[in-house]
Amino acid sequence: MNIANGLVLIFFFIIALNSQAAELILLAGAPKITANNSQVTDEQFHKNRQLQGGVIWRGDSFLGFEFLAISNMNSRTKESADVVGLYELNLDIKSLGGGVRLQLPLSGHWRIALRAGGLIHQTRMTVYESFYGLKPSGEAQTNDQGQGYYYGLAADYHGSGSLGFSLHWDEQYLPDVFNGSSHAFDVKISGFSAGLSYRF
Amino acid sequence: MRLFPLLIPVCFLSGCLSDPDEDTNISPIGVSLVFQADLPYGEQQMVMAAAAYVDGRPELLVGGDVLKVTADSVTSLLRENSSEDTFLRGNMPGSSGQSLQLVVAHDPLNARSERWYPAEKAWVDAGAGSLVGFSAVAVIPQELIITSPQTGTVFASRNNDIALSWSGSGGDEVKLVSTQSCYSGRDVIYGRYVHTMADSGTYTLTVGDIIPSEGALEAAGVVNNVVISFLDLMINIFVSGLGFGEPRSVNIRDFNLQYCTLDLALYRMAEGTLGAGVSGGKVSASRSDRIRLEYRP
Repeated sequence: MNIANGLVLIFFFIIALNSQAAELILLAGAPKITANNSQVTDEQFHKNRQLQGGVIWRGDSFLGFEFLAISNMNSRTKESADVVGLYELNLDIKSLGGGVRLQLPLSGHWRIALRAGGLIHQTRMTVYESFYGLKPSGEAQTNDQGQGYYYGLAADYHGSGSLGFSLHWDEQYLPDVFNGSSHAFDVKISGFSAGLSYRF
Repeated sequence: MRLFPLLIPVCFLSGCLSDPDEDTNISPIGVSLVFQADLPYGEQQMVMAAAAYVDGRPELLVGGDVLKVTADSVTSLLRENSSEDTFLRGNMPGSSGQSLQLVVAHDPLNARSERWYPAEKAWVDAGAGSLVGFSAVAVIPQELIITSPQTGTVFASRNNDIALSWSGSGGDEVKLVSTQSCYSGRDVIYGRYVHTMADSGTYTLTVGDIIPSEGALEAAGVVNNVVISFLDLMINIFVSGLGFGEPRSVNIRDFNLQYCTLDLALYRMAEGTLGAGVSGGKVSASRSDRIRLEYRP
């Protein structure tokens, strides 16, 4: 299923690149990552750094398509303690997404868009553990793949040249990460990102 | 404006403090284990507390080393700790006659099982510690029920007798633990009284034994993260909500006492056996019952 989604994304990506109505975007942000399951509510991962790159096919005036590659890095929980010792978690999440844009041109230079689509993701969880100096500390990693979805808003500005500016607000949902394990959890990534766009 | 009562933690009698060697037999050399499990009357779940010591100092178990209690193939990890002390607590079903085995085990996955994320997918294997394998055994004694006085009984004088009687027998000893709160209308003072006696079924003391008219007051509790008294294990479990904190000396003679509540518990203690290689400590199981009395002069 993940491979099929990826092939669909690549297919649309090629169409978009061949179109004369495409834009490349590169955005950076620091959206908030939270995890939820039956044991925690909105467990916070701090200091997340996000990079988004993608292609927007503008289509007609009101309907467009977008294909995104998103990387979330460096997020960490606060340090917790239990009977084992001290521990922190890190999530690195890489996603490919594709979706539609309902666009509304506001003037000759501005355009806003309502966006929604699907995601496939690869999530790497790193656990950092220490034991008060009584035993050697260390880290361990595990990976999972899955699907999710996103929705958001965009505001794009393009002057007379090819280069423009984009501001995105996204909410990404990745349900049941590590499904089948003892404590699968849902991930929500929400926040702003901003950057440049290049119009073909 | 409502006035909150001033909380003054005190200990009424000098019997509050005990010699650690006498109560816990913690050895200055080698490994010691302290473990107590209590099953209160009318309850299905035992309350358990344990701590491990090396060369007389409390030893923190980390990295998947745990204190594990097994009874009739049911296993429970002691995993509740607090910043106030070094012993770990837990609960599990229990009944009289049941044998409890405490063992220091290396069980890294179960130790992490209450984390919110899938800890079994990624964990740091720090290896087993040097205490793994040490053990102790105790058997839960016969049920104890306080048959007199009845809870709610009010005493008017320090000279009144509190004639305790209880059912059953067979304990190595019975410990009387009273925690009392005395009110002046504005202030509250707390205290505790501890006495050990034979499991003879009766014991009489006076109200004045527990609430003296002249108090030589002393600090009580847990000092420097060391369980200073075997009974502190249980006392801290059952009365930690009372507000024992940084003690402050108050002479009860100077206190405008209006009334006191006495939470009185009896523990039928059955001493257990320390496993091979354990140099010191104390292991026991108990059945207990409690009543609340009142002193209103």
